[in-house]
Amino acid sequence: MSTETRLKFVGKSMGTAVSVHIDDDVSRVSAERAWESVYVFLRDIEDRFSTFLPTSEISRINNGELHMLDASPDVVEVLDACTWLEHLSNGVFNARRPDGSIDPAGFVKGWAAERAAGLLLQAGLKSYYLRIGGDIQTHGLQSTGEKWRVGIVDPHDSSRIRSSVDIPENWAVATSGTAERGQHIWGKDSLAVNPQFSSMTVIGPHLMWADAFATIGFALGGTGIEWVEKFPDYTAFTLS
Amino acid sequence: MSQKPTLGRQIFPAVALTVVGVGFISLLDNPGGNGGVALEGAFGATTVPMNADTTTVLPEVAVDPSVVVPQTTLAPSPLVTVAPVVTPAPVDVTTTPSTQQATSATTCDGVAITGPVASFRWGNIQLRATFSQKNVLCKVKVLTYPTDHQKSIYINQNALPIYNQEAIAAGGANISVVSGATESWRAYTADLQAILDSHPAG
Amino acid sequence: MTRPATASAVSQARPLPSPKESRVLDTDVGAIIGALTLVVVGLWSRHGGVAALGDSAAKTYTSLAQLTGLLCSEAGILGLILVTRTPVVERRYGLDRMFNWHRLLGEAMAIFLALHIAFSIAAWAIPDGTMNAIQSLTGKEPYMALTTVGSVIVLIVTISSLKWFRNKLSYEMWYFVHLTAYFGLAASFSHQIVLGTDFADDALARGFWVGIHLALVVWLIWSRWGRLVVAVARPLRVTAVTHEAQGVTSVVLSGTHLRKAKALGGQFYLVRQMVKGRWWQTNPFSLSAQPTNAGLRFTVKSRGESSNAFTNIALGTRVIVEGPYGVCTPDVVNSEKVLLVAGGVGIGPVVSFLEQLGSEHEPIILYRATSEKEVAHINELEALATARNGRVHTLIGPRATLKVADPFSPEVLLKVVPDLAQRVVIVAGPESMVKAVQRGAKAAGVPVENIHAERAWW
Repeated sequence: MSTETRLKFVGKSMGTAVSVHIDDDVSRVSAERAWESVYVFLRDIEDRFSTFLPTSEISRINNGELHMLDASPDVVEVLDACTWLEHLSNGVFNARRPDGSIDPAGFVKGWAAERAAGLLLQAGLKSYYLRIGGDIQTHGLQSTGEKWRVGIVDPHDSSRIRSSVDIPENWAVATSGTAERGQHIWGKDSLAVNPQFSSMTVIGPHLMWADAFATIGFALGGTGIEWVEKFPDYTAFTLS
Repeated sequence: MSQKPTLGRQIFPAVALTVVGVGFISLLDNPGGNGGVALEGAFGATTVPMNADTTTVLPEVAVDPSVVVPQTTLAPSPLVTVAPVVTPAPVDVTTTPSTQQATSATTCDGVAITGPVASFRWGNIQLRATFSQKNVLCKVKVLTYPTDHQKSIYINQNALPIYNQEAIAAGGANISVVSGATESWRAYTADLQAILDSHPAG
Repeated sequence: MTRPATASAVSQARPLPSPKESRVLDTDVGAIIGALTLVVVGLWSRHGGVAALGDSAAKTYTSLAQLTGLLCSEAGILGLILVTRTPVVERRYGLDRMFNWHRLLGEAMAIFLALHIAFSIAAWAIPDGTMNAIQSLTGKEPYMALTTVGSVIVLIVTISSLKWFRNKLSYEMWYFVHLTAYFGLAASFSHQIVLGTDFADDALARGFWVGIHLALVVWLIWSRWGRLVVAVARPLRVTAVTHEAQGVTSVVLSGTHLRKAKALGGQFYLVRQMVKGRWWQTNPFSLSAQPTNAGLRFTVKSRGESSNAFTNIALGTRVIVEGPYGVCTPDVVNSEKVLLVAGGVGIGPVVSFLEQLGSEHEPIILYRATSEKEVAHINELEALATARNGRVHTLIGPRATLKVADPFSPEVLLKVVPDLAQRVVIVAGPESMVKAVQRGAKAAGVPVENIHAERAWW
């Protein structure tokens, strides 16, 4: 099927799989160190953001122990971004559950992935991708000089690929589908079924926005693509 | 009646107030001007500090001509302080269901319309939409305005992804990674990506 | 039939000193209004207002909505400044003229408001449709529900002040409705700084806007309402009541607080009785004699429920007076000859003015009344005129019975007053008469700065 990257790492975080593929010509040891920093970072994010952990900052904000403004800068940044997305999407993206507690999970995944990929860059790597649960942030090109090629999975049969996309250098891909509804989207039409398509993929420079836009675009249904494509550099397509 | 006031006394308040007024106006924020500032920063440095603002992003994006857009709206919201919208000129338009993929532009030399400035917490955005001769939306340019917050965005001038139209069976065509809706860890292990991840490095 | 002589016990007392003269010039006022308009329009333009016009329907409507909103507020600010009754301004222009300008600014404000609402709905209707736009602008957007209420109040206040409506309402009813304007304006303020891009996005502009409104509030409280508090603390009492002619009564108010008062004959006060059920009614009464430290004499014509309350007022009643106001005062005359024209209740200020003139003024008085029964002070008038080398002409009767169509046309005026062009003309009476006199006098060659009017604006 595939090109083989030189170095691959897989781990579990945030309830899903994290994969890092590195194509730089570096030693395994330094790659492992880079991977370690990514993995530790993601663990830390989980500790701070998971609504399933009562000790996370988010949980503590929700039960009143911690005030939003006293949270760590990362948490504030994420909550700010959620507010922006909420306004941007006119409420379709909503990080608040019906009972009023906050759940930024819909944004955190893409944001954390992008930050984690940045750690790889800091480690000196230039040719890699980081994938968490279907969202991918790439950097550079493959060692063959070609762009990273992403296969889009059939929303109804995860063993089939429906189409593939060559991603511009350093760009990200995120896909949102029925499996995600109800988990991350508390927005207005969270219970409505989207009959027009079964998944939406967004491609753009930043994974945190590609992920959020895919979520919002999918929830919007028929007007989703238009909405996403208002943002320059971000394009969307859907699979039925 | 007191004596007639001097000329100086008469014109002094007008002159002084005009100077103060003009000075005040020139100190105000001027969000006008064409185009914004393209900010570049290393990828990954998207640190958005609290209350950060952003925006820029200016390269023009070609849009699939078959995606015909009746309205482009920056949704009005409590932070949007100006009525939004770019409306296409005299055209009767319908939205096509969207399973299209974006590709390159057609000749994009029809009407160009600029929407009002819409304010978001992280910046001001203004859209300029250009339509082809057939009144189909073919180009959207976002003009943004510098505010006192900055966000670094890496802009890749080589803008567009290349799509391969055909459905590709597993096993074909050099896929490096697959993207789909988030699967749980349990689902992952049986998944295509697991296969990609598992080949021995080397 | 001889008419009873009027009491003139007041004429032995010491006259009150005149109020401090104002040094405000027309150019000062022009400079302030000009600068304010410059800043408001400049702010709009600097934020892209002019560039947006003609760009697209949405941008044009939005820009016009912003401009009309700003101008509406500016008219409101200037209108409110006029009712602060700041002495330095009032001494220059006279409260009657200031209230007239306030009325015009109020009408301008209502027009700008209507345009602002129309353009805002038009702009918001473009993406969402008119119904949704209206819903957003009347409640869904923050502070808009309150603003909608405020706008409705402002429109009601303006409509109720139009002549047609005003005549149907009692003065008290009209006044209470008018007071709600304070609330209406306050309610609309929040949306200006939250939704109005000119202020929401620009901290300096917002600071200016908030600052100017705060200053206005403080000014109103200090000047307009503060003065009322001071007046309540310095009450006077009714010390003499004289019935002059049918429905016309002279009332004299005295008190120790007059020692500190300053006023000139020809000015007027806003007067209210401190009697249960009447204390909230305020009446504009002109001094009908030169004010002295012994008392202020007002001549009241019975014209409605609240002035009736004065014609029947009991001796010793406590009365609050705010004032003095008005610029139709003897200091506008140097040593030129004078023509005084009085209509109806304007005779009061004319008499009071006349008392302060000397024989070098050779005063001629034209007294216009619709019936003989209304002619008050006529004896006093004749005595005063003769003592100063002048004369009195009365013109009595409803307009239909007059031999001339316009008793104040230049030809008629010149016949009665051949040296009209060299005289200073003082006119006091109803608006229509004042206008007629001004027209006629100007046409007969009197320079415009020599014509002074006190309108019965109430």
